[in-house]
Amino acid sequence: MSNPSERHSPLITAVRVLLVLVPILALLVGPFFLNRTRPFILGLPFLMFWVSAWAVIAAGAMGGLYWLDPRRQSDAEDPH
Amino acid sequence: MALALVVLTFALAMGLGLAARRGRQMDMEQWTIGRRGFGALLVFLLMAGEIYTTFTFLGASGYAYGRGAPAFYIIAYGVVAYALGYWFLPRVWRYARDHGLITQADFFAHRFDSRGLGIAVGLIGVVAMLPYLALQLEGLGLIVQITTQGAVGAHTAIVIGTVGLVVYVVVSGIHASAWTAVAKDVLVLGLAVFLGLYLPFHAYGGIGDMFRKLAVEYPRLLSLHDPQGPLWFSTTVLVSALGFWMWPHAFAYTFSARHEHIFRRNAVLLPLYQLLLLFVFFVGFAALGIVPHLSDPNLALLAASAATLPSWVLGLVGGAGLLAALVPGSLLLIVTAALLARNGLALLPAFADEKRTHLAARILVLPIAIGAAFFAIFGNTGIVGLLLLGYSYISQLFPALAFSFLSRHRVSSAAAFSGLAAGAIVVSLLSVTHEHVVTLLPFLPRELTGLNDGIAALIVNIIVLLAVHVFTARSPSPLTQTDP
Repeated sequence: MSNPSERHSPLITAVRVLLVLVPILALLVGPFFLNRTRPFILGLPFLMFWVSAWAVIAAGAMGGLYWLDPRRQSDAEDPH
Repeated sequence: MALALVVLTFALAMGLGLAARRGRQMDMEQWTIGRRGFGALLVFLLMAGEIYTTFTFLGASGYAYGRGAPAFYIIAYGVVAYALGYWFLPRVWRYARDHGLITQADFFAHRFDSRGLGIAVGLIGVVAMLPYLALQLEGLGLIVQITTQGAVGAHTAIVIGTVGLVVYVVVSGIHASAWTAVAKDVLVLGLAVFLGLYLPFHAYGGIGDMFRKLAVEYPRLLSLHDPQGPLWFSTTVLVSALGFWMWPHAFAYTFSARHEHIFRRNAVLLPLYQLLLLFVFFVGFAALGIVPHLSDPNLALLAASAATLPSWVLGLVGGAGLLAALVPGSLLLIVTAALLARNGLALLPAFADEKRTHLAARILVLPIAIGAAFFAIFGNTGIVGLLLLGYSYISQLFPALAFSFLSRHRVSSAAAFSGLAAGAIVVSLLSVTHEHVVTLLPFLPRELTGLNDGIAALIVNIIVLLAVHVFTARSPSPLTQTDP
């Protein structure tokens, strides 16, 4: 796990950690504060909307994580 | 008409399952994990296929119908699981490839340099997977019986489905799961979206209208309330997400990937795919307006469909349900047989040879399938309880695995085993006494009602693991050099 291609600047590391943590926390902690039916958004009850919205945001966050992943280039050359 | 479509779907699954074998030399690695040759699409379908089993198809709509908002946890835990998977699946995959590992028990045995731990993990896996397999077959029987309006009885359907499953699993192994998964996802998703839109419009005139009316009619339905309040939601999401990757078959489809890249790319799409469960929930909520007062909420989807749709659409629902049982069922069958053969029988000198292990695995498919079918026909209500228990046991594997990747000083097999055993004991105690953590420990505040019991077991697991780790850390471990 300590191969040099996986090291990168602390800022990028912090961003990548946040990209994983924020969606997880939004889903684990959010319901304590947003456990409500109204307002309806896009026709959905609020809590249902919250969970669904974070599924979409998580997809974007995973995309960002991949984009910032230093292994992205090295992997492409790996013939395996 | 419905019967013809169900039979046609079954024939299609058989055809795909058998054809999947073509042009392949079968050995243990090929049969169990496709010789690590699957591309992004097949891995995606096997992974996502885990979400759309009969248990979710019937169970998720039934949960929305019977309980309402607590059902949303199913979307949430998938998203959390995929975010965790981005981080650790590539590491698991790389380690398995570098050391030629095929099963989950192989992984633990090698990682902790302990054959005994491998046997324990294999045993837990088999015990947890059997009720899961039985539940798929039970769902299959139910779906076929209702959608063919009784033309094929549940028990007949279970027997025929099991025979088909055994035949193509023995012939094609995981290739059969992968090929049938393509047909399954097209049909299941198409129908989920159709039903999820059609039923709310049919019953309430639209999705927004449905929720506005439901919120008036059932004021507590669409938010969380004790005992399934926010604490229940949050801890259940966490335990389920940790358990998600600990299933033995999750390791099988992880190992089947051609490249570690696949997991990172799939992690982007999987949360969006998870959103399709919204349509399954719409079905469950709409069923409240179409067939209220069902005694078994798990019948919500089938009963609402039977009440509103023509026979041929019902046949498609039956076909989709059939595939939703066969695909995960085949994977469970393969992985159970592989664990028993490779991490059990292969330890005996008579089966140590790779060819014999493989033969034994394929022969074992039959008794395992018969056992599960028997269980599905005669087990009745006990199966769901056993599955949930299996889930609690399986998630106890997470701390050992996580620490083995996080810690600079490799966790010893003694520490891993102690943590696992302690967690399993807590799970067993809670289950045998039918108690919850909060009632057993009266000094805990009442606000903790709803805390998932798996969390308590995981905390005990981690404390014991760390204690034994610190205690045994002085002796150098031979594993410290083999960093992946």
